[in-house]
Amino acid sequence: MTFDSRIRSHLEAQLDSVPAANGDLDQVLARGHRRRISYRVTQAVAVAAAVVLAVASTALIVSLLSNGPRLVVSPITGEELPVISEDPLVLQAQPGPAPDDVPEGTEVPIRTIDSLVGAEEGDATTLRPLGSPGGPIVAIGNVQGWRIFTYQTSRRKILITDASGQFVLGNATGGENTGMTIGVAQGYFAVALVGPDVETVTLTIDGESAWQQPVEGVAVFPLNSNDTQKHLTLTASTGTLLLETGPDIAGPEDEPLAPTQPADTGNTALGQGWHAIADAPIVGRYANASAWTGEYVLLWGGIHRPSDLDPDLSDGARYDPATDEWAMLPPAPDGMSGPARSVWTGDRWIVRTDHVPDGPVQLASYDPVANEWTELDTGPLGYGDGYLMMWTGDEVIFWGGHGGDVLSSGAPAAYNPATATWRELAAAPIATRTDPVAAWNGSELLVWGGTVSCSGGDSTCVEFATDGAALNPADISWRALPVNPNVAPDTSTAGSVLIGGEFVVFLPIDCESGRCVAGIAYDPATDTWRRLPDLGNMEWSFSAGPVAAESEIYAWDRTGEGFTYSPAVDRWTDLGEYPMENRFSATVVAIGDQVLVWGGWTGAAADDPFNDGFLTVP
Amino acid sequence: MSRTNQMEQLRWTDFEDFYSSTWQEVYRTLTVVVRDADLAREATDEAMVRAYQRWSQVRRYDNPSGWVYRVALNWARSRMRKLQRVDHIVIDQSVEPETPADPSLERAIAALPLHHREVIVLHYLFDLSGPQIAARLGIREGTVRSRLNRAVAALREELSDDV
Repeated sequence: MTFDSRIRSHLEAQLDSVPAANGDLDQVLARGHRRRISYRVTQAVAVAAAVVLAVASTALIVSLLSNGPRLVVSPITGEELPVISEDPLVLQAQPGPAPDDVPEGTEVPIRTIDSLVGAEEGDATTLRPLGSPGGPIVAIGNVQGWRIFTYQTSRRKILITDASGQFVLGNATGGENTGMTIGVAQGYFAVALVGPDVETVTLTIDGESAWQQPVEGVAVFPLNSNDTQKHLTLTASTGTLLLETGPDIAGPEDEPLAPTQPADTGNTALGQGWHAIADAPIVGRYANASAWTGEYVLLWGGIHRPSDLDPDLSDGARYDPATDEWAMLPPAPDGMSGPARSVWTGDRWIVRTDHVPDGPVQLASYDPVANEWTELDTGPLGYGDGYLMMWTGDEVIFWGGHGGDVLSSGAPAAYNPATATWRELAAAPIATRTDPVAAWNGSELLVWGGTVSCSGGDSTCVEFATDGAALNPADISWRALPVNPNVAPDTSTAGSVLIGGEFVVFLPIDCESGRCVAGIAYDPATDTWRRLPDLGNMEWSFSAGPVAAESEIYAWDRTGEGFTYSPAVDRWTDLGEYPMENRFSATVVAIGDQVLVWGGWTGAAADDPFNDGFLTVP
Repeated sequence: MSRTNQMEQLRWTDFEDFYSSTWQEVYRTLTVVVRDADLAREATDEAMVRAYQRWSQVRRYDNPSGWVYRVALNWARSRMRKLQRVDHIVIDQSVEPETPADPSLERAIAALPLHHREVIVLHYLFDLSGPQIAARLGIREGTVRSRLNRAVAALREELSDDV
């Protein structure tokens, strides 16, 4: 018997032994109509606690109670929800009994659109007044039969349904003063999200114009399918050009710009998902440099397979998320290869390699416009590993690390690319270290943790540091960060992000399944630490991330399970497992409110690193 | 009949056909992959509930049954994690014949991680091609090839004394 036929006949025997079973269609339909049965409400629940949802047209409104409020069928959950206001249309979807007068700040189970799908019974969040950030969904208009709703979170989402209300057609996300087109199966729209200073938004299609007054900061223009082949602009009355597109907008025959189909995911939460990106033209790798320029993701260097005779890589590529296309980068300066770190300055990508354990250190700058590299003077740098490299807006700061057998000493060095000059800064009030976590908050470089030599002088002993400091490069001064009394000595870290002004550091904690991840956040404004809500099933450590993408933190734990944290609601959301083989040391890059995860390695010596990746869908 | 009820009736009939033609396939495949018939039944039901709720979208997908399978597998995986099971070492006697005909192969397959086991099942048991498996799992063909190669290599290594 061949090996293949052996596997086949064994699995066939297994299939034959599967117990007979039948699904219960009636139960499925009942559950589908009555999901989260505990969320049905009566009109006695306070208006201030209401959540507004996408609504069906008048012809579809169904009243199931002869003596109760008018009901509509939610196109998202299929459940009947009482109408408590016709203009604006407000539906009540608050579960369970509640006082008639529910004051702001009261914690009650509440449904918002991002918890309608995938929410567990008993989910709770702080009650928010109608229309506030993170609050409910508000009907804002009816444009040529399309119903427009705004979902005011920190990311400013809007939803569009057709006149029947049965289809959620679009889901646009953007910050203030942004424009976009949404192309989905049933229609096309040009959408502008603007601030309160904008009185009108004008759309031009091949020079012909139409305008709207934005409502709740949103202006939506329905497009015909052939409009997508024309020259479109969206302009605010303040003069800001919000959008300009050519004739190659994606239509329903092509990939939608705002996909409603989760192409590569089993994750079922509404609005969440991911799609695979094209395979890169470079071999898989880890420990490479990466950056987001605002147009391209840049990748360079790194390590292929440690067991290779020469695992250090000296090539790179750039990825354009708008077109899902890759292009090779030109060759970097001679000799540069292997593990690399980098910063993006706004117009240049500065990359450093060290050729540990023997050196030398090299520094180069890549200009994506000219598509060329320039080697830079390395100033006072010695070759090292585990150093900190951070862009402050004017300078690249280098500190710490481990050169040869000796920890790099004392003072940080700062390189100014505009003047091509170096300066040395004051020594830190904390021990020098390797692999600290760090962030630049606009005025201070915040540094915490890392690995230091043990006290007692044994050069072979290291331990994890649990202290930190902040450097002000302007006056070359340091201050120590307050100690966090809840962090045990010799605790390692798994990365950090800067989000909402807070410096968030991730640490291991004990949990039921062994070791999990917890976050602590330092607020420079108050000089205090707080602990983020725990997520008991986020397993130590990370396979990808953490990274801050606009207003949320993204991270994938060692099993590949993804999580996002929103400071606005102080809550974690489970994304489900990412749609690739599990890996470590993946490249993770924030692209606006999306995250690109690429490459990485299983850690097994015989395995090739990966060269595939995915992009999250906001 | 009101327009609402007409549309609901159409939707229900359409979904009923899909349910009838898909439930068994997803349940049986999932049972062999996760090696737990009760869990597979729950996961399939849960995925079908979600498919019904989103039927207006799901029915337009290229591969609705593949979507249901992926949702069911992910639900099962999450459930297994919450129950602190490790994917590749659970062996549920409800799936196994009392005396497996090939105990060493049984142990080797059970030791595979879920995402390797499922491509083995879809390829060898259901004779799906690489593109078909990719469509079912919502992954790239290259990823299917990679997973299948690694899974077969792992099985060969585990059974090297037998082969």
